[in-house]
Amino acid sequence: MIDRFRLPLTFDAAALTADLDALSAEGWIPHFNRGFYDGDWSGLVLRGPAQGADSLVATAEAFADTPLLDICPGVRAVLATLDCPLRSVRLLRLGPGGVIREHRDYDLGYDRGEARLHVPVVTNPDVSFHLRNRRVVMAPGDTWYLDLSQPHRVVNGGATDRIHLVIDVGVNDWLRDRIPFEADDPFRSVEPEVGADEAKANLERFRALVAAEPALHGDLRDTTDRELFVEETVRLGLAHGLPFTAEAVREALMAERRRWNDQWMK
Amino acid sequence: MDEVTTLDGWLPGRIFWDDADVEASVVEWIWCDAPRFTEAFLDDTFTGLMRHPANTLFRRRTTLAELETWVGRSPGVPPTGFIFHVSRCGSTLLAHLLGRLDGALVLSEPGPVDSLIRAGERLGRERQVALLRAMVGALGQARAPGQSRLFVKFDAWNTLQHDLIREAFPETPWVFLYRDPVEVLVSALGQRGVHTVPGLLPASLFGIDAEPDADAYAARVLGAIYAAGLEAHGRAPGLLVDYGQLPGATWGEVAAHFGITPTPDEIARLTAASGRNPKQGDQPFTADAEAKRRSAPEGLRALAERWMQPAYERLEDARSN
Repeated sequence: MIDRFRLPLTFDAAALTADLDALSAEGWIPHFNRGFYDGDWSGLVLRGPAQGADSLVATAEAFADTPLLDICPGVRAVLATLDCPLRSVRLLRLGPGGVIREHRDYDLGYDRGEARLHVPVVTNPDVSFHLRNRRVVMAPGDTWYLDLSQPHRVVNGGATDRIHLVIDVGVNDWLRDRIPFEADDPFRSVEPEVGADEAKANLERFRALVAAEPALHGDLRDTTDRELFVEETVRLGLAHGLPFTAEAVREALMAERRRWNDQWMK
Repeated sequence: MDEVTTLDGWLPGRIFWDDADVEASVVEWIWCDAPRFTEAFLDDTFTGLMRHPANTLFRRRTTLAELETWVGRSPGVPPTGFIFHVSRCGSTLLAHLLGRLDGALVLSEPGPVDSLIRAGERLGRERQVALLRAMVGALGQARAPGQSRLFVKFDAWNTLQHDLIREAFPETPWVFLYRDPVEVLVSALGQRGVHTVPGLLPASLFGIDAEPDADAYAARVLGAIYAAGLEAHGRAPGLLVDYGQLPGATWGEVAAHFGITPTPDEIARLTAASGRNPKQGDQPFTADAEAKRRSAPEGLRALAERWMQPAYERLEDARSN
C-alpha cells in the first residue's frame, strides 16, 4: 500500500489564490484537534456535513456545498475535474510558525472507501510535511493523495501561510485508475534475515553512526510513533549496510528506557 | 568529545556516575528543539522529550570533561538570578512568571544540576564547582534569538548547599522564598515531595540522625531548609521573599534584585499570567493560606512550631529590617 501519490492533475494556482482573496473577509475556524497543534491551524468549509456545522469536522453521512463555494470559481474548477463522489471540501491554513504534532487520522482510510486529496494553494519552502517520517514536498496547483491514517506531522517554519485545498472523496474506479492504492510502498523495507547476535552488534554500530551524523539523527529524531520509529530505524540501518531486526530495536528501546529511569535519584 | 559533531540542540539529561572512576562517568544528552521550557519542572520537559523514541535509542554520550569542553566553546546565557525556596511556597509560580519576561529561559529544579550538587563525595570541591558551572551553561544555552535572561530555580534541599552554588556563581543575585511553616507543612504532608519522604534523600543532608516519625521527619527537613536559607542570607545577603508578597514581588522586588526593570508590557503579561497556578493547569492560583491553617491538626501545628517556626521568625525579622 502506498501512502502518497501525486496525481496527473495540475490546477491553476492563480485561480485558487484569487478564491482566497474573495474569501479574505471570512472568519477562519480553528481546527477542532486542539491538542495536536500550536499556532494557527484553521479552515473554511466549502462543502461540509449536510446537517450544517460550525466546525471543520469532515465526517458525516451526507454532505452539501456551503455558500462560500459560490464565490470560489477556482475551487469549482478543481471539483469539476474529479469524477468521484465528493465528501468534504475545506481550505486548511497553517500559519507561520504553526506546528501540527504527529498524529493519525484514524477515520480516514482507503479500506473505508475514502481518500483525502490535497491541492496546495499557497505554501513556502520552509513548510515541512512528513508522512510516515518521510517528507512530502507539494507545490501549488499539484494534486496529492495522502494516506493520513498513517502518522504525519507538519511544521510551517516560514513567514507566510500554508493553505491547502483539502478534498475528501469516495473511492471509485475513476480514482482507482489514477491512484495505484495497492501498489507496494517503495519505502517499506523487507525485514532483513539476520541472527540475534549479529542484529544486536549491527544496531550498536548504527547507534554510533547516528551519534556521529547529525543528518541521520535528524531523520529519526522527530517521530513520536514507536512502531514507525522502529521501522524507520530498521530501514535506515539497512540503507547504511547494517542489517538488524525490528525485534532488536524494540529490545534496545526497552533496555535503554529501563536504564534511563532506574536509580533516577542517584 | 568527537570533534566532528557539536552538541547544539542537545541537553545533558542525566549523569550516570561511575563510582570507581568519577571521570569515567557518562553524561547522556537528549535532543530538544523547544525554544523555552514551559513545563513546571525541567523533569517534566524531559519526560515530554522522552516521548520521542530517538531520545531513548539515540542519545549522545560524553564524559564530564567533554561537557566542560563543550560549554567552554558555547558558554550559554549567564545566569540572571537564582531562586532558593522551602518548597510549597509559590516557587513554581515565581519561576513560571520570571519565564514570561522577555528573552527569559527558566531551569526549574534541573535534575542534572542537583545530581552534581549532591555528588560531593565523588568530586573534589574545585571540580564540583567547575562542573556545576558547566552543567548550568549546557542547560542554559540560548534556545531562541534574543534569549538573554536565565533563571534557575533549585531544588528546595539545594539551599543547604548554597555556599557551593555561591562559589560557582559568586555574582549571581539570589532570592530565598518561604512561607508560613504550618501552611508549608500541611501542603508537604498532603502531597509529599522527594525531600519529605524519609529514605529518598540521605537524612544526613539535613543533619538528622534518626527520626522514626515520618511527619516529624518532614518538619525537620523543612526546618533545616528554612535555617539554611537564613544562614545563607547571613553570609552573602540575597533577597528574602515571603509567599504573601507574590505575585507582585515578581515584577517588583525580585525583578529589581535581579537587575531587571520590567517594561509595562512585561508587567501586564506577568499580571495576567499570575492568575493561574502552573502546577494545576486551569485552576486559578489563590492564596490558600487561611484554608491551609484551618485544616491543620494540632499535632502538625506542634511539629511546625518546634522544627520550623524559629528559623521562620528570624527570617521574618531579617526581611523586615
